[in-house]
Amino acid sequence: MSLSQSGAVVICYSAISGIFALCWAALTGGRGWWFFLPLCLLLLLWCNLAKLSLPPVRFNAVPGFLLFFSRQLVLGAWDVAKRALSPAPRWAPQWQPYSISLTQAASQRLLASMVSLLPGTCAVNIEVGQPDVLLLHVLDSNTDWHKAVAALEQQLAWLLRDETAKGQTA
Amino acid sequence: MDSAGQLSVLSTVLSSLLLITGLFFFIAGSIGMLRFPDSFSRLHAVTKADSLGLGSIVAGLMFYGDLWQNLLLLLIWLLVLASGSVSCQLLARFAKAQQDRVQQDKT
Amino acid sequence: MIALAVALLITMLLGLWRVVKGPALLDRLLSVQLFGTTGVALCLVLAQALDISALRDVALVLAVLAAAAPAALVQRLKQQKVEQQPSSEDKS
Repeated sequence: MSLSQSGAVVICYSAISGIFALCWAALTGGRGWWFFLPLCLLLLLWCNLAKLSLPPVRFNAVPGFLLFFSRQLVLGAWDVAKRALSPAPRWAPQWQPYSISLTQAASQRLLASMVSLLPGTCAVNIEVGQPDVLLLHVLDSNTDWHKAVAALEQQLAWLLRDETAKGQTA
Repeated sequence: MDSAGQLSVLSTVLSSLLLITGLFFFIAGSIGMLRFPDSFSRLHAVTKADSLGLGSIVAGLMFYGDLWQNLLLLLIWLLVLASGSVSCQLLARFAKAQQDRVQQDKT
Repeated sequence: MIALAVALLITMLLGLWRVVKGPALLDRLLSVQLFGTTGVALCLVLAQALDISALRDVALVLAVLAAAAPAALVQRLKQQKVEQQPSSEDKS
């Protein structure tokens, strides 16, 4: 039990150091590694003290999620560009509520930020209630925005380990 | 590294294509900003079109740089993507609250 | 490359026209987003075109600022609202 736990901690901290190393390499152009080592140790100490760790992500879901997200990103930008450039665009901007099925506050925030990059939707506010409601601004209420948001939500629920654990117990 | 002369023909074409695509999205975003009917829709235009435009331009520039430099470009794009989506939400929330207050004052 | 930079600058000016014209406060706040994306792209393209790698760091700083600026602006404007409201109620 404790052995596997310490193994998980080691994996987690090496992943964090890997991210730090990538950032350091990007910022400095791959120089000054002698300074990076003590800095990295300090940052890891800080992570430990502040109880920061990697987000609880299901790693084999990451590639699929990235693919889905980039596709949606392109579609969203293309949708906006088409509307901006077409001579007689159709508009029906509207406020729409969307009931969130994600349970964790953090993942709801993540959903709200990501929705802004989806085609035709932009999150405005999360209203706490039963269930929590995400207030959206929809560019064209004739499009099937509800399906797109639900698809993103499903992807997030699969990506984040907390959500699925909750969903199974509930 | 300082000129396109060292690139092969294929990568020059690819990078130019990506750069032009990026420019297209920036132009579309700006035109959307001028044409869209209300402020919230304009927010859509700027956030979506421009963040993808930047991504395309970053991808086009990656043909020229070395590994570390490309890493920096990628980092910048991810930062802009994250900050763009979050600040879109912040601005929209603020503007909505303001709008609601104005409507309440009127009634 | 230079032509691309000039074109980016023109699109930025187009967007700025909306910012100047308004009419809502949100339209003006859009300038933050505009600088965050188009400004960063402009810096990156110029860095490549003129071979000044320092401009990439400028772009990074702009990106970081674009992340912090809206939060700070919204917070500040909200505080102004809160300060203004009690005073108007006092007068009435």
